[in-house]
Amino acid sequence: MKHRTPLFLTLLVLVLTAPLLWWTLEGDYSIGSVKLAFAPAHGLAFFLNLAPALALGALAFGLVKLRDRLPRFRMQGKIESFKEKPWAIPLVLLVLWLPGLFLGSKGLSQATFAAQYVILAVGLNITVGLAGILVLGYSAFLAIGAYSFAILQQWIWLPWWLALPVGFATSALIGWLVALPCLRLRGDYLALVSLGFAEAVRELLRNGGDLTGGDKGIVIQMTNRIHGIGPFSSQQVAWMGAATLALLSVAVVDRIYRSRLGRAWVAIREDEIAAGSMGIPVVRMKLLAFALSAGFAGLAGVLYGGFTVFVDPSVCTFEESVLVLAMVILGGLGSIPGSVAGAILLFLVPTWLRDWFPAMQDYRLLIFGMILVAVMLTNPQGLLGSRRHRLEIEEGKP
Amino acid sequence: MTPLLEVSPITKRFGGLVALQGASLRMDVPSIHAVIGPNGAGKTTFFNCLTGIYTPDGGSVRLAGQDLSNLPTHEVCRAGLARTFQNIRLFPEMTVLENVLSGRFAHLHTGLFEAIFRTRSYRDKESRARALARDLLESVGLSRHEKQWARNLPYGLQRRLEIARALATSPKVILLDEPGAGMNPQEIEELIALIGKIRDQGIGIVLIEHHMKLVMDLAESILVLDHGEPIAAGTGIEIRNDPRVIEAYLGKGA
Amino acid sequence: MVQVLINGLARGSVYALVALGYTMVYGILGMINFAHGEVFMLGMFGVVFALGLCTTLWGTSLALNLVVALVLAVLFAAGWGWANERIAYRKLRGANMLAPLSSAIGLSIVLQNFVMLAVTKGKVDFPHFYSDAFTKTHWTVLGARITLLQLTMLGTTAILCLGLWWLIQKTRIGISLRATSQDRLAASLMGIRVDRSIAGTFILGSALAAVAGAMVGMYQGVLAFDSGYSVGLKAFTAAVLGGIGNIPGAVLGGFLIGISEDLTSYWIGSDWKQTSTFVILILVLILRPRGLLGERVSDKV
Repeated sequence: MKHRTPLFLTLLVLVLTAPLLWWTLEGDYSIGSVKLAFAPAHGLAFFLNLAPALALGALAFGLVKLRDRLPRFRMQGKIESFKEKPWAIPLVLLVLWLPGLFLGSKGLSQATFAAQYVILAVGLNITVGLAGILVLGYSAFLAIGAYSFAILQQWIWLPWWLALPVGFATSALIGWLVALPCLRLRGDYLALVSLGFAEAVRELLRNGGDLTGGDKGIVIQMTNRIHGIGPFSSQQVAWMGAATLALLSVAVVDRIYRSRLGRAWVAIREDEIAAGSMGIPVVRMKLLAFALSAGFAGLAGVLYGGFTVFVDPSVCTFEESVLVLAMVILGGLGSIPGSVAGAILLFLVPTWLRDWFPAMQDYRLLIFGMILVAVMLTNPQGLLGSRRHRLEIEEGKP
Repeated sequence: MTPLLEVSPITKRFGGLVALQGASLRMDVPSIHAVIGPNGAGKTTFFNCLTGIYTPDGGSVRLAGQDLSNLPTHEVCRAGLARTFQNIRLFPEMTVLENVLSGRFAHLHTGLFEAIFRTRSYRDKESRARALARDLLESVGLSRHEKQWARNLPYGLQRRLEIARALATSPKVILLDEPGAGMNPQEIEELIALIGKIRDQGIGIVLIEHHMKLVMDLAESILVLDHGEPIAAGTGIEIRNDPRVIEAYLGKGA
Repeated sequence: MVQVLINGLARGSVYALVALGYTMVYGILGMINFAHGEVFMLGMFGVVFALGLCTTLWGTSLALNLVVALVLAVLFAAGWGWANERIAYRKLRGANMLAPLSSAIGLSIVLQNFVMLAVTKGKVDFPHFYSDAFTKTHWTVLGARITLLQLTMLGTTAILCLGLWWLIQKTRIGISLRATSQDRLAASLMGIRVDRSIAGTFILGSALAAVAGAMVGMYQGVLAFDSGYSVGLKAFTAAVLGGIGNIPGAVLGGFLIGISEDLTSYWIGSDWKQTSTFVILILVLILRPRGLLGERVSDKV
């Protein structure tokens, strides 16, 4: 019986999708003669456009299966000791900066965006991955960071690098305030409250009149944008800044993760009541997680403003929130390297796919949704999280 | 002298159901007390009231003179009252060592900035906490397993790990909810030795237990609950001969 | 002012029907049925497609086509509700709470974008021919206009709520649903087929959502692939407002959210509806976290 479930579900989905896929509506609405017309080309086009993504997905899952058979490298210990070296961060930073000298303008801009998503994914990983609180409106905090920079720089001299702490603090503070009423309740409320919050923020931005510039948004003034320094072009500076921020975010989150705070978050994720009984202030720790998470989004928001030179309400969309969530989940809940890899993959692969198969553009979200479902059903630990998991179990064997 | 733990009659109602009516307990110096009673007698409810998971409708809890009533759960633990759970509640996706370290939370005063900048004082505190956690694992016999995931430990070792985690909070009194459940006679013997050792370190123990050998060997005082009410209290011998206790366990006419 | 209240009640009746789906699933599984808004949206499209099917098969006939289309749309949405449970929830029932929620979010994104790609990116008009009969007929009460459609919406909601109440309180199906929601293991030991009860809850909620979808389609005259998102969010707020897991609460919450929305449009402006819904949600969570009619829930230790 059991092995027939996937087949049965596939049939069910095929039957249920059929009417909308293989038939189209046509006719005169006012006299009620709206008819269904059989349109096989319509349905076929859908599957043809989806095909490259499906093939890629199958390939990715195949690689994951293959990975388990590869010999394992025992790098864990070496990486741990490397991380503690004082010269580790400058060294990695130099390695990251170098390619910026050779990349073209398109490559630089993609790399900068990828770094921005790394900050977002690592930040969201704090709440979703470590503390186990689902957040669906993460882009609201990106928008708050970007707009706090954009609004303030109209009145005072505020170059982007000076705005970074401002964006971080504003987002973190607002995040803290939003989470405050929900965290005393059972965990899953916050998911939808954050979603409602993002909707409200977008509405506020669009209706904010002169303050937010409405749908048109705000242009960042020349003096406050990211611009070139000495021999470096503005795009090279943007990449260096983004790479630095991304690396620092990763390092900071990693260090918090390995401190008592990180352990407390994981304990809360695993069992709230037991965590409380072990002296962990559950509500306060969740608020801290949420505020920090929001803060990193604010940081990314300022970077975004400085780099794209204008901000508008489109930074605060459900699509954006879901994209970052998919990065965290795909990479593996709670795994920091996983979030970094998830961010880079889920930003770059669709970008390249769009260049190669322009028709795929509209299928992006559909594919993210499929990834979320597929990963949850086959590998709830996430694609990269599972490996670390198994590795440690094996090393831990007496 | 202030008693170590003083629970004045606690009442807890769920809607119309009285789950606990007038259960009290007094421990003057670190010693071993047991709470026994048939299933559904309110023993775990009693623990939940003591640790702030439930808010009792009446009564108070004092630990070494400090009033714990109405404190949130984590404050109760911070004040020195730790516990284990009947249906083991470890953190399954943490290693054994991390489980114990999580119990050190309140005593490991490392802040956000110390953690980010890895200051000398941070590293000192962290390594002291790890040393202490390893000592605790040693004392419950789990040293070999420190890197394993808690979920992969066999049942008996999970119970020991829960005790180690509770001890990591540096408690004055520790509440053990059925520590011997599901253990074989040899494991029970080891557990009796372990609990005796904890008491000798000056930590008071209150335990809920069905295993009579464990209770009779260890407990200096026993509280018997039935249908949420205390029906007897005293030493092992007194309890064993109390007609109401016999009736509660075996039914009328036994 | 009376007009605002009437409009709000009509709108609220839709939120009430959708909120029932959220609250029933929460009651039985303790989880948010995230893809429910999308099932509602599929119900809307189901009605329009089914009307097209009827016209193709035997031509234009007002009453017959509407009835047949409604039945087909209910079956269509119920099928999606079932698929939703089978795909996003059943396999992950024992897992960490985050897993089924994530898979349901994934599914809801898939459904929304599937409709966008398979039908249209823009809006689809509801065939006026069918809705005109309901929207053109109207009466004047206390100086306000009330259309036949608004009356139908209120009446249908009232009948469906009573029917649901009867089903849950008086029938064997209801007993197995209630038993499953209280203690899944004990219910299964008593011979109740838990899997079926849970699937039944999703199907029932989806059927109600399809009816709501049909009514919204007629009321607004247009439908779009993203219609389910905002209705879902508001209906969920309604369920929380009434006390999630509580069936009368969901209905009450639905009407309150509907009225508050029309009041916001009336007093402040229609651009602020989302914000007012959010402010209400936050206020409820601060002032009365268990909702208006909800009972106190405590974690089992």
